[in-house]
Amino acid sequence: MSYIDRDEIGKRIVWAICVIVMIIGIIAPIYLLIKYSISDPSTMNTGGRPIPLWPNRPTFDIFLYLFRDREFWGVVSNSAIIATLTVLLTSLLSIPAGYVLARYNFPLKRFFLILLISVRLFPDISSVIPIATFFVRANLHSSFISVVLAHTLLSLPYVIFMATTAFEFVPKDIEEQARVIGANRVTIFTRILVPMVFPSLIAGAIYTFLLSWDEFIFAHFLLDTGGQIQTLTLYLNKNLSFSPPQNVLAAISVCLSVPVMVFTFVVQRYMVSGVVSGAVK
Amino acid sequence: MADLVLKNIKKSYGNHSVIHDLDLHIKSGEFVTLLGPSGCGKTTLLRMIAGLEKIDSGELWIGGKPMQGLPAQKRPIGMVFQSYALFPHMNVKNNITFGLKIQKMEEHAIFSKLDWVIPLLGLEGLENRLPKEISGGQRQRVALARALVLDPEVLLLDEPLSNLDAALRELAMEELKRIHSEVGKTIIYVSHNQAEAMSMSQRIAVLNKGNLEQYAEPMRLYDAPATRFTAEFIGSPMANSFSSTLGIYNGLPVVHTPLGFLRLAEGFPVEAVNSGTRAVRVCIRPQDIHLTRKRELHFWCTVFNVTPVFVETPGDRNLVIAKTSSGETVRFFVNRLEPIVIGKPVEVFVDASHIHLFDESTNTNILGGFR
Repeated sequence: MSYIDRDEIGKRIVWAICVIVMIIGIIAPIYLLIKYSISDPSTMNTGGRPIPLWPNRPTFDIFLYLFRDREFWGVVSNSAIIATLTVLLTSLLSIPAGYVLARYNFPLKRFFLILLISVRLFPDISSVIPIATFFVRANLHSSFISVVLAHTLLSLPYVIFMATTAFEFVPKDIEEQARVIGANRVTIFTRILVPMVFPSLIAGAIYTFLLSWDEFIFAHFLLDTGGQIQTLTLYLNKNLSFSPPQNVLAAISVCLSVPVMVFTFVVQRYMVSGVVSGAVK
Repeated sequence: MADLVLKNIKKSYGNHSVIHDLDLHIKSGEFVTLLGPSGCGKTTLLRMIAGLEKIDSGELWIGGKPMQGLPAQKRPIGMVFQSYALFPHMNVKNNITFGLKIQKMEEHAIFSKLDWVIPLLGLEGLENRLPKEISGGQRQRVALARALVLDPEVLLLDEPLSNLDAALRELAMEELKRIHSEVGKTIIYVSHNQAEAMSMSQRIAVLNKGNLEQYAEPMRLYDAPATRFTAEFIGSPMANSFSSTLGIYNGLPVVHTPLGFLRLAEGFPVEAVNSGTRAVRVCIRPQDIHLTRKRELHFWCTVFNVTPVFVETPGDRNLVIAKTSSGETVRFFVNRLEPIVIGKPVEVFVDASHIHLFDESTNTNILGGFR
């Protein structure tokens, strides 16, 4: 065996170890979360002995308990409604904005783009105060609309950038060809452009949905001020303060995380490029 | 009748003028090529006809109707882009019928259009494929079909063959000619490839730097180029071109070139010589210089000697690159079996009727005013 081969094998082993460590780093917390959520409370209080890696008597009792709780369903539906409305509002604003940013040049365009992303340049915790204050003044706090608007504010910069990039990938020839064929602007937009960038729009929508579903800080400041509306993250927070058994918290966390994981896989599929291939040349 | 008339067309981008005052009359049913090097304004002109580019000033008429102010989607034109611009999310059938559906044409009428165009372009069996699942040549034909089903009065083709490989391009050229003869549409074809233009078009508009150099039938461009640019651009390889002086010798007009004195054709107008001498540019095609092979030549031929320095073999015949005694390069073709020895002078001749003369300052054919 030559030295080069040995080098190559060494490299591969190091790589493999790195990858395994990374996977363990990602999987371990998820595993523990799921493990706790299906553990019997008695198997968790081991009295000083090491906690076993596998739950002794796995049970879905906690989930059944949660799913029977009307408050829990109310909270889930609140989160779903807010996330869905955020997706709709974000799409409604970002699709035309992305198109305009991709196709037209106007004065101060670069400045405008920086301004757009500037909301996200600060930690949420620092931008939440002025925004919450504004909503309170506008008498919009403790309402669905306030959280939807705040979440849209958070998602919009990224989704606009995603839409802009997608529209930039559509060759200008395609639009001009459609015009020559006799299509007006609305037809071109709805029947040529939007279908062509659809995968990117879906990805943006899923990103938005997850952002809203997971969001805590803005929801907390806008809703936990004496209002009646609770989201899933606020519900988890409230339960934390009552320090219930770990398995209850773990089960709520699983409910919060499962959609995130599922959607992430879906997004990955839609992120695959090559949608435009075959259009030109 | 759908004649296409361009009158005093001007176009500029900022301070940069792209088309300066262009006139063109394209007859109904004609196959016309806008030919020129990249940046000559040919694509801009095509896009102005399509309505994708604004005409700064001038008039555009199609079939007797003015087109100024009419948006692209209302003009009686079809267009095939260089990139084909197929809609990637639609299959071949939907690509072709998209325009008809926009017009809200009835289903059965759409089907009869498809039944007509699919065999015409040999797209049978591809109806349900996506653009990315068919070959370049097929994409080009889909783009053509999509334009043809709308029954446009004028079909605009922007270098539709440039993305095809050489063998496919020849086939596509034949196809285009066949389709033109079958549908009888006015076709305006943009190309930078003179051979393509020469073999397909009924008339060619040679464009250079935004000016119309010449607008004529292919053979006329070849035999009687109106400008030095046309003489050098049409034909391959490039014509031999020499800076020369025109004068009268023994009562006959002759031109003094680096090759020696060349006799001019019978009936050459003496008036063209002006008084005394005149600076001219002589262009002679490589195809018009021949070996004498000791044969007898008629009076209007001029014989001169050159020394071959290199022989290129494109296949059917050999291109000899030779030097004159004054060091100028001359290119000419010989039979591929002809034994040419590098460095050994050969005797060649040129027929006076194949010598093209252009005024050195205006670059126009000095016979322009006399023909």
